[in-house]
Amino acid sequence: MLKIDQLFAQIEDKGILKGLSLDVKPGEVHAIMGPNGAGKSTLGNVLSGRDGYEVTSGSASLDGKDLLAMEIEERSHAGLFLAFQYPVEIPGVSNLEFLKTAIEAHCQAKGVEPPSSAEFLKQARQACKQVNLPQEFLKRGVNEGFSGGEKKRNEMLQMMLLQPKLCILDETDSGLDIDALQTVAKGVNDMRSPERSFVIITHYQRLLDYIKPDFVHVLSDGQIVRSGDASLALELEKLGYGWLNAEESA
Amino acid sequence: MSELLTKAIAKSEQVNNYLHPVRDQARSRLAASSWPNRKTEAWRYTPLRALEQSWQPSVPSTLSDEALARLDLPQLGSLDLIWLDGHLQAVEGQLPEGLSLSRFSDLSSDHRQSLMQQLGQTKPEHHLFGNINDAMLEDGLWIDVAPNAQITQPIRLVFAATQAMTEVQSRVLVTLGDNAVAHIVEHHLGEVRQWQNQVFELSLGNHARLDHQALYAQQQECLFIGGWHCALGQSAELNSLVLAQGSQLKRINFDVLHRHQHASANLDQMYLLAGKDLFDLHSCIEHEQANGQTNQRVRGLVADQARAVFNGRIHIHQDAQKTAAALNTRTLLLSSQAEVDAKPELEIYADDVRCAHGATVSQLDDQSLNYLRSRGVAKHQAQAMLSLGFMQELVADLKHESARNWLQSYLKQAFWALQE
Repeated sequence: MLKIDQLFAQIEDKGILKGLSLDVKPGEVHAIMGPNGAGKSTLGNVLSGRDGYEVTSGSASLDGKDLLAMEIEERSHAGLFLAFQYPVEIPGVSNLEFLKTAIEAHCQAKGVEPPSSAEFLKQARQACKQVNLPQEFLKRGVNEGFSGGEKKRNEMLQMMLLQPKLCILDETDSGLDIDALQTVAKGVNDMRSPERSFVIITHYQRLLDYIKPDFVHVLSDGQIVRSGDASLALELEKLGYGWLNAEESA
Repeated sequence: MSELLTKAIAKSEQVNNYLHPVRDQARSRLAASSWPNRKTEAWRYTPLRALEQSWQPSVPSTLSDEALARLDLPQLGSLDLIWLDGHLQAVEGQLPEGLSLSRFSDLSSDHRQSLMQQLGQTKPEHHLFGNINDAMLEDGLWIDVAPNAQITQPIRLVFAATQAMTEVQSRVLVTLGDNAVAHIVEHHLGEVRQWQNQVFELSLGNHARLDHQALYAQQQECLFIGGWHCALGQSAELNSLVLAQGSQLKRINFDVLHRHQHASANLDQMYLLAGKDLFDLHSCIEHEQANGQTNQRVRGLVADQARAVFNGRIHIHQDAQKTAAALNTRTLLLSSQAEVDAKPELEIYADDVRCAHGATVSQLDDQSLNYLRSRGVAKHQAQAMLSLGFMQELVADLKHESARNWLQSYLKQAFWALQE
């Protein structure tokens, strides 16, 4: 599904990712943990195609297609979805209009007929219910005046409507109370399927109590320094990230 | 002196009715005025060449039922007053209680006297086109809302241009008594070559509230110069939203006077310009007394080779302590040949005030663009959505649902037309 090979990326002249490799197969859930500044968010941003990041070498592909050669929107059409750590507020553009335009763009890319307005509205309302977001939020500006938790629920809502193949959650748990955390986790768990993969970027182990990963990777200074199963997350939680550095320098 | 000015003065001498003191005084002010040129600060960016044509007076006419139906906006549920080329059509339907509409020419002698006291109360004497309007003043409409009357039905004033190569002078006086509430919607439209010179004078009593929306939708050929002058009583409230498209010449002087304490003015002003259109908004907010509030937001989208001029003056007088005034203007230029000349002007003579002004000519926000694109929306479409959203944001704040829906869909339509 997702194959990253020896990826190097920088912002301006500062190297952030330094030879990162990762192989995610269909249906798998991978957690990427690591200390602040390790390059966790950069990974999500580089994969989604955000401006300002320069890939200097290495490759990343989704279902064999070169992700790095695609425009931002093409990556979305190809099935990649990044749930942002800080979803941006866009007053003046209604959530509903935004979602509808996004879905129509996806349908157009796939060459299928977009859902009728009524059908779309039904889907959007249903998704609202699933993420526990009142329907009025559909009429409001995109994320406008939403609380931290509401913004993250809105990310989940978009994910449900777009049905991506690969979902990257960038510190989706940060700033969430326990209820919102459970809603987000439920959203992810409901969407788990043999054809869909998840990469969950997180600083804390907490989210992984609710979403059980198949693999846990530790990212440090732009590289994956350790991989293991779910028990690695617990180990990290207990010992902190300092333990890694100590072990490396020993 | 321009030919136009000479003609105005000559014409004002031929009219004969009780409004002559207004005309006489204006005539003498005009005699001492000079025609603006490029060195005249108030007209520096707005050439008046297009006015130098031979205009004919418009004549009273009526529209076919079909044409009238096209002016109809049933969703607004408004009481409609329709001016065809400056001539007010008979008003149909029953007026809500507390509302009175009088043509200047129909007033009884008592009312004539009070009209004469009201005229010129809010309109500054130095406005050249205001003086021309005065000098040509033959008739007008007085909309009066009685004290304590709460008129929730929108009163829609439709100004339609149909006769080409004509000149239209129009005049409206709006007075709201103490504690009165009214909702006025101005709807300007027309596609023919016409010169319109319009003056609105408005006066709000103590604790009165006026909700106002104005859509200046006259197209390219229509030349418009308007003065909109509103004085606020104590604790009065003005909530106004202006949406303008440009034309070859379109200029509005928008003045708000805080004549008493604790008044508030919420002003949202937007323009959407394309082709070679021009829109010039000169606003002037006078805080004469203490504890007043003004919140003015101006947004513009300028495409093609269009040009926007904005001059936003806020003048806080010495006695206007504790004034809170904010003026923010943002313009998005959609082409490299589009132009905006924006000048906020703060003049403050009181020492205990909160004032803020900001003017930006901006590009679309990269993060927002990235966000939309990351959900699959194509770049050009995301840009369009954000540009439109930039304007819709102000309309979305409108309390009146029917007016909001109307303006939102108008804005959307105008925006997509501009994208083609």
